[in-house]
Amino acid sequence: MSFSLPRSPLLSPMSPIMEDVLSDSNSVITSDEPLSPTLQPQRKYSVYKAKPTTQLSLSVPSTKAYSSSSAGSSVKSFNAISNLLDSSINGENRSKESYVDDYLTKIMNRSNSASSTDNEYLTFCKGFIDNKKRNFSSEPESDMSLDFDARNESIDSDSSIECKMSNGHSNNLDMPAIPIDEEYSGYRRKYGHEDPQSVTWSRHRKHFFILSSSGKPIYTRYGDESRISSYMGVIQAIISFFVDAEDSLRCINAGNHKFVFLLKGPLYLVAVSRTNESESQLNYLYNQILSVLTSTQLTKIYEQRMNFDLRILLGGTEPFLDKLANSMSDEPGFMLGSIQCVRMSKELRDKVGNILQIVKSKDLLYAMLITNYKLITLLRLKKHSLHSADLHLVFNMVNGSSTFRSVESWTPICLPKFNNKGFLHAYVCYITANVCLLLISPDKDKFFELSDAKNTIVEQLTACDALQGIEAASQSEGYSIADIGVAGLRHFIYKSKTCLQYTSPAFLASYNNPREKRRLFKLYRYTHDRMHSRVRPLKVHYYVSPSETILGWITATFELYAAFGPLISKTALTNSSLVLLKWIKKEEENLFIMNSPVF
Amino acid sequence: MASRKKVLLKVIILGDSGVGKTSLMNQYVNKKFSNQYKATIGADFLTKEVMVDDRLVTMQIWDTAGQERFQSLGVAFYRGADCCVLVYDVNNSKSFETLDSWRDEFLIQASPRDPENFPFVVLGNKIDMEESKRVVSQKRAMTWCQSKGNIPYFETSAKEAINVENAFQTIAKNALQQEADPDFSYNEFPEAIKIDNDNSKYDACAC
Repeated sequence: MSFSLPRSPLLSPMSPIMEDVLSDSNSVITSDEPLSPTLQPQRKYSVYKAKPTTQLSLSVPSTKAYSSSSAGSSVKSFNAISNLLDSSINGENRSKESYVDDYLTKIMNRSNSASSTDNEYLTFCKGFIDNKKRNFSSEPESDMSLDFDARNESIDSDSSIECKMSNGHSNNLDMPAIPIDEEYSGYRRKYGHEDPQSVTWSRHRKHFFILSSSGKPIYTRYGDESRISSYMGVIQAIISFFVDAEDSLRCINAGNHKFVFLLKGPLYLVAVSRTNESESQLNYLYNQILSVLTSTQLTKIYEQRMNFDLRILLGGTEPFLDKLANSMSDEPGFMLGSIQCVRMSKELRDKVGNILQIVKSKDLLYAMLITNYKLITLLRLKKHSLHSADLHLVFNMVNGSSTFRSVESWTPICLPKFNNKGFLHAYVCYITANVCLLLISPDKDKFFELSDAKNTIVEQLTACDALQGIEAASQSEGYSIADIGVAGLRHFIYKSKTCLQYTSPAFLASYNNPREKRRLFKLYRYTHDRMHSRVRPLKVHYYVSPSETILGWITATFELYAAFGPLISKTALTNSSLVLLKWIKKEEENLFIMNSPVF
Repeated sequence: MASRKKVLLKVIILGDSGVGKTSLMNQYVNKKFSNQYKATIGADFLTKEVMVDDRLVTMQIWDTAGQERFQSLGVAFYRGADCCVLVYDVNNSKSFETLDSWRDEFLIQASPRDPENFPFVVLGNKIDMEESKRVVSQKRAMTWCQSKGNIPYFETSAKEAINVENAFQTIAKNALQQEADPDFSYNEFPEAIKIDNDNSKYDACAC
């Protein structure tokens, strides 16, 4: 079943920024499975069709009933408008659908209510919406809203810029000192102690929540998951309404926020963002959890105990989930479903590949050299290729902990795309300052053998000067756009569909600060999403923003996303793109691993 | 994430409409009481952190709606609960008589692993009312609790905050005991992968 409300023409998605700011329509999309009309009575969601402004008066009067500032506690409730709804429905025998309506109505009402007096009462949805902003957004006018966007930009969650508390939102001052237990690890989260009642918390651009199907918290990107367990309850309740009707909730659009849901057996994953994220990011998070537990173990645990607190088993995994959540915001590989290779001469790469061959053993599945988030070379057992999603997990693991830099490590890892039921074992060792060697085997007793193999590899690499070569290649920021010499081109991402790898120049000049980089990335993502739209996929997309012209171009063999200046003519853009493609073709063998060697 | 000392307990409050479930919870969490009746729609969710012995426990309290029309939601709410609190009004005998069906319903819907020993707590609420109005005697309630496997019983008043703290402390304690289940092992390593068996299921390739 699927339904979505018509947006007002003014709000139709034109630019990512406009969309971000202006999409004020409320729509709920659930799975597409058609249900027979007899089973699925027509639901009337008339409430949502009302413009947000018309609902303002509804929810305000009773919101003061529970205040949440008391010691050590917090209240989230759907009850804000209960007496109102109750008075109108009491005594009536209502169908199940109407309960769903109740819940959603309440959520929507909460998210749309605008009262600067009910600051201390933030419910799940509303918690994400800046009160001050909502006061204005009843009449969405573009310049005013853009103004707000600019303001929000400055408190982006991924940047280190501190958010200034506006007006009197100082609930966190009332919070008692909760004993903080950090003895399990030395990892101190950047946003771990943020008060979920505070505006700072709700203003983050992208939240991730993971909970069990019984509503127990497992992970939150910001704050302490146990302190938002009430939100988790609300999420579980909302999802359950749809599960009950044998439907599954996929997405809710509420104001500027998009709520995306991914239900994976005993786990529910939710993203709440102002950045229009898709569920693919939730899949990466789910895979990260599988890489620690395997699906076998996960299923078994919840079969035995529905009330299990998964945090017990995931202790120590949090840094990796945090790292992944962050890199998904600025690493194009996740969006493109591909990985990046270090640019180096084919001869050097082949030489390194040949040396890795010496560890050939029937128990070795993969051998690879990586640097940061880039691949240098990969050897694999015949018939066993490595999926880019699994490679992202490997990259995330190696980059998620500094431990690997100092010692040789031997760690179990489940690569869900390879096999989600069991563990492989990875030997991880940095052989130079930036180059990391990984040897992955299904046999858990191979550490010493692989450690010996490493010594041989390092010896041979040193003997033929390849070690310095790859270290030098790893240290460089990559090639610059000037190396290519294409007129007007500022930056690009090129994905080879045959190799499932992408290449992109270093972020230089105007894009070397985080905010500009993120802005450009947002334009790429917007272009990418438009072109991969399920409804109407596009081959070419041309988009002019105030600061850039973005060309998106998809063929059978590649995807190109290129940024030019805003004033470039279409002819110049086409010519430049062709020159770029020619350069990539010429450099192909250095930019990509064209034929992955096998053992 | 949590160290092993930190625990989260899911607590479900059940009982007829108007017996004071929300008031009890509100008294416990917020130390507040209001005479005004406001029916719960679906469920309310509260969080409270308490110390039980030396452990920091987060109680995730699910205050459900008593009204019949919300009962179809039971399954979703009861799933994975660590403790179930049954509430009745000592001045209303029907609310006491339905405890049986609330308990049965919970056990069917939640299907806990060990239904015999699943922690319940019974609260007889509104003891602040005049003695003459009381219709369910303490003895009658305790007999019922004993017959159901010695369920702990408390007489409470959400209005005057009598026994509320006490009752919830017991709730947390009993739920915790359930947590420490010795026969449950979650640390078994799955079997090793045999690499020759699973090469066919592979579709996409990175290199």
